[in-house]
Amino acid sequence: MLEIKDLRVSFHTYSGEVQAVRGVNLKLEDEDTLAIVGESGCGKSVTAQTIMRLHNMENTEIKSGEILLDGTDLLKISEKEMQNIRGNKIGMIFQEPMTALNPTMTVGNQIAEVLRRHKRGKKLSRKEARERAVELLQMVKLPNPEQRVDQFPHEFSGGQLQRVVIAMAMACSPQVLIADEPTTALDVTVQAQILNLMKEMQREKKVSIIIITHDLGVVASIAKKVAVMYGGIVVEMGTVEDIFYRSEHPYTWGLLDSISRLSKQKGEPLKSIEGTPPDLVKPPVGCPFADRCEYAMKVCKDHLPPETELSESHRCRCWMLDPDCPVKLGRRKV
Amino acid sequence: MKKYILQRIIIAIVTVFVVITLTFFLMHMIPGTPFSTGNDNITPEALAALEANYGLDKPLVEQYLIYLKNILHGNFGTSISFPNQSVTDIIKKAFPVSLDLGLRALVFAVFTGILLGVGAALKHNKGLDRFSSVIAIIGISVPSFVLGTLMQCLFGLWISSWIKETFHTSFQLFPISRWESFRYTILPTFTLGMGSIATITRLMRSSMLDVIGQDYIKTAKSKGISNAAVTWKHEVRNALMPVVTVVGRMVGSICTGSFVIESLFAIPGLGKYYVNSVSARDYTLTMGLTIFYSIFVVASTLVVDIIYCVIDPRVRLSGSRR
Repeated sequence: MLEIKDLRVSFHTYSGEVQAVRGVNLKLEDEDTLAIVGESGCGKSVTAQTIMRLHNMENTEIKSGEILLDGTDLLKISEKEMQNIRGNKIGMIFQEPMTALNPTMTVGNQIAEVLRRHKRGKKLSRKEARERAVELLQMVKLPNPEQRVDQFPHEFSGGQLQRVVIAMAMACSPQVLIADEPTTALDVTVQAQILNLMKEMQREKKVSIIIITHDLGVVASIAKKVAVMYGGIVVEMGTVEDIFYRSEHPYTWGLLDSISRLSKQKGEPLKSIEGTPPDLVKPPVGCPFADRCEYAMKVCKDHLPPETELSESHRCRCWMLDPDCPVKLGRRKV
Repeated sequence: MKKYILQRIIIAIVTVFVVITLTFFLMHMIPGTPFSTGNDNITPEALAALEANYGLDKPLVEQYLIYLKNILHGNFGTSISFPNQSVTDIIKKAFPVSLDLGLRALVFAVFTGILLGVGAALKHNKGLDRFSSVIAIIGISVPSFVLGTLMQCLFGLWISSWIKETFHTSFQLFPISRWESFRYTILPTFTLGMGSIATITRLMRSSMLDVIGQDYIKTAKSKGISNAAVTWKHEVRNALMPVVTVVGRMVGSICTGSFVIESLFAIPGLGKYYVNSVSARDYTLTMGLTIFYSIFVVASTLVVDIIYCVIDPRVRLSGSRR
């Protein structure tokens, strides 16, 4: 129901045009959970924010593409129509719960604001909105919602604030919930609680989730599908099983190898991917990962690899999957 | 909250006391007395009699203690240079005029400054932003006597005489001076407000730009709230905080009268008395006005701090949780 087709987004900066997203295709089914994974600057957040059209439009250019929500292209509708979709059909959760809420408004008023904005049918009075806010805080399992609803953000902890943000994003029962690194700023035990809450929301409210993260642990615990992004394109996409057990892209291998594991020997160094991501002002012609890839061939530097369909759910962009490729590494075990 | 206000009031009283003490001794350190005229047409006997009359022959510390006793009884004495008027009478007569002009200028400056600042921030680096920068530079760098004189020439003289000649009427756009009806207030209000507009505009602009970049603005937008609602409910409200502090400090200085502007426009306000009382060594008037001025400033600071607590929940002090 949410489909992104050939999305290209650029930012105009002093150093030139940054091609942040260079042709992304994604599809999100109902009640699906899609994780977009990649390192900083790979275009994952830009993709998500473009769905909400939250960029500063003065320096952002959407070069091409469509974002279809139930058949409506979100890139074509007016700002007014987009406002009816934000918070109503698509909810969003942000990375830093500590700064994501207005410090001078009670959390209750901030939740009421979105309820009153997207009221359906009759007008919602202040009192009713407050009652609904209490219910929502209860739904996200915040203790003492009756008192908490009138408190200000600085009186909450980070995890509690993220619950409030989730309550706000879920207030109008949206179809899609976009979570932009929702657990990055939280400590590990709270991360698990927040992820569990999101899973519960999905079960109860039948919402589809797009979660943006660089943490494969988060992916493993919540996602059903995964898109691995690098240098503004999706390099590999598949179900969680495809990515964790049958991955074909050297970049995905690198990501999987760099997870720290309890089974590691003492003193064994944590693996990392050498080098730095490509400069998106002058993006490489070929595969963006070629410079850092230990298997890179000549063709990788000159031509962008086409998408190879490995199974119904699994796609990968790598020249090693080409029938003419002399090197056959085969399925790699991680 | 009550405890906090009480604490602040006690601090305010101490502040005023320190101001009184410092001013009293500093004032007496200035060479000359109220009766030193520069020439010798006054006999030493007459001088001694005058000084005895005003208690100026006593040791300074004793004078100080007597003065403290008097003001505790609400007696600020009579002016030395205006012998038949008490200090309280002068304040009662002149302060309302200064306050009237000051409040007009303040309201004008706050509204214009905030609007220009918000506009400049929303149209960052565009026409309106440049325009507000120009206003700010003029407001800060052009002294009020230059601006005031220019205003008088332009609106009081040149444009009025052009209208008179062109349309053969006796119409005058704005009067050059005096303080009588609304038309008289416009030029001094504008001149007095201009400096404050500049400060408020620049502050509001930078404060707005800071708020616009905050994460919670993105959150508000992601809720589908219209741009206007985001601007007024989230951005302007939060950006106002530093402005409130500065405006609070302005209240004290603007409302107690400006010597330059009151002289320029012949406005019977307090500013003139203040400056003249110092040069005339009118000890009682200087002291009285200083005490009045400091109480006014301390009180407006206190009010600002209380307003701050109301608009920014983060500064609410412990024990004041709702």
